Amino acid sequence: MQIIFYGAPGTGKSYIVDELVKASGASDDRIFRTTFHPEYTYNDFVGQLLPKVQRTASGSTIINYEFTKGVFTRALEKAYEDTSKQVFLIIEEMSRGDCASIFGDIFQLLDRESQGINKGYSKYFINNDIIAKDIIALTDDKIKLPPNFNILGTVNTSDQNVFVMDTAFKRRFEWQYVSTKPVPAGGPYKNNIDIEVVIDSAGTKKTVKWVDLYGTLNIFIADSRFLGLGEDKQLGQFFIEFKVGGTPSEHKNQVKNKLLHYLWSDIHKSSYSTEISLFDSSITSFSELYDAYENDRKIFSDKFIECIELWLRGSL
Amino acid sequence: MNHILVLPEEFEIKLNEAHANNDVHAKWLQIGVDTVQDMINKVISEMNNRFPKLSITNYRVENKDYIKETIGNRGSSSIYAGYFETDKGNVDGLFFYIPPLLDSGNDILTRQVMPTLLGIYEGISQDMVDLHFNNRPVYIVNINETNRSEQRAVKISFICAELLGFKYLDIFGREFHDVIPSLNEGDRDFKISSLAEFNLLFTNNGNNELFVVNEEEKVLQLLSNTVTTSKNPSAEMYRYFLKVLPAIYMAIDAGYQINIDAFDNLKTSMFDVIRMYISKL
Repeated sequence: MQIIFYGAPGTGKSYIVDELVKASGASDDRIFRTTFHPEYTYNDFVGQLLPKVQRTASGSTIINYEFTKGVFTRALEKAYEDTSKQVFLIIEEMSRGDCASIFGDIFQLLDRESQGINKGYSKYFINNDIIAKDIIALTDDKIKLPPNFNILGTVNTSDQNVFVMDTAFKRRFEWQYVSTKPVPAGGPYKNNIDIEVVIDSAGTKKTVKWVDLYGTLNIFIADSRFLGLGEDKQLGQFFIEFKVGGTPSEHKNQVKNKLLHYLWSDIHKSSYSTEISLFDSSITSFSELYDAYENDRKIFSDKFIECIELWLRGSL
Repeated sequence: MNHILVLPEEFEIKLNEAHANNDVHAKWLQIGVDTVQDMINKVISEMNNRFPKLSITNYRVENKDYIKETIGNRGSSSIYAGYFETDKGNVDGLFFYIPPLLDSGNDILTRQVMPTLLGIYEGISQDMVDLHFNNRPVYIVNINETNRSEQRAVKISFICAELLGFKYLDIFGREFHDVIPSLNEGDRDFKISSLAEFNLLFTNNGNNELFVVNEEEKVLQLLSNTVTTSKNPSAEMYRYFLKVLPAIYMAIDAGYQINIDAFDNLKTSMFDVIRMYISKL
């Protein structure tokens, strides 16, 4: 399988990948995981010649250059070792690296046979003697991916400063959307703590479950009746992983430093609306937002607080 | 990557028996082999020359039950099966040998290789997503000095093994591709590129007792007579399966259905494994 799981941050994409791999029964030595980033290269992925200092019999040292295998090559070797066992190459944050450059000639291997005795193998081979060198199942330097070689990727739809994946690359994967809906559907929900929201200038607090708060936020962010910023900016249930057994103060810190920062930088500042705002009109900077929340003052706009009420009544 | 060749204890025993036979020893000397150790070294060096990726640096001998367990063979343990071990201790490929002194053409290759492969498949059939029958590369070394390897039927077995992607090495350097009907004199390129060409290998007076290729309906029909009428159906099944498996591969590639109705009444655990395999195609 070649699947990319995509969705808003915190929707549990990596968790789904883990569950999928666990369900396959693959042992740890058959699971390979890497994370793309802007500096990630083909050499990191496939391998590279690196200098190695060796001591000779006479005691002097010499420098040899040895091929150090990247995660792709190691996973491919493992897959060919026994094609009855599944091997998983998990690539996190695929859009944070330049996939076209990182995959290089490997891209050609992503097309798989859909029928015949070679079903599941790459449709086309590439010549790459360095990768093929230690795979005895490959008689020469022609390499293909075997059917037990799985690539599972994750992509955050809301990331800024990411690389664009070209259509040819994208179409070689199945794409699976991971929605922002809370799991398990119907509750009791996971990661669902109580959060106090100050609803007026007198400091009146209302206790709201995290699932209700982020659910309201998602509608407020995406819906054209409100900020209309699109689904890309929404949050997942695990955007904040609340500390199990944590104190209200610890949870408040998590909200302050993770959620508010995102809402200010990526939502509030991205909004072109002059009529509708997520935050109270008295808040004009992040430091004010930070202080106001810290001191239990009202931070959200009346419109958003109204939305929370509507959400709780099921009429948003 | 370097490998250690792990051999069953019986490999050395059989070489010692062969070495004690003057006729066999005389044949060994013709290929520059004097002692049992020489023969082991010859096997390793020939394999390294022919298959450089193996890079066998050493060998060791293990009990056949240990080998059976390590390679995941659910059937009976085999005295003919070994494996290639990586520097991390993993199995990277399977090793089989055709022993010296074996003077039955019927048993050459099939009896050494197929029981183990069927035993392995029994254990992996549920998980195997690869449609090939073997989950690891297969290497077969022929150290049998008799002239059985020159018989047409035995040569066809070697061809079948090659068509399945198995790597075959004859330590005595004997040719076997010459039985391919399409092979021109002096043409050493081994080529059977279609089911029809493969069919010709087994056709005698227009009749193939193993399978029928129905090109019109795109059906490969497996015939059971050679197995069911045999005095030893188990042994016959190994021979039969080695010969029809390449036909199955080619048929699947050409979009054929595989018809095994003729085997409906054959109730053996071994054929159940084959039935399971075909059902996945």
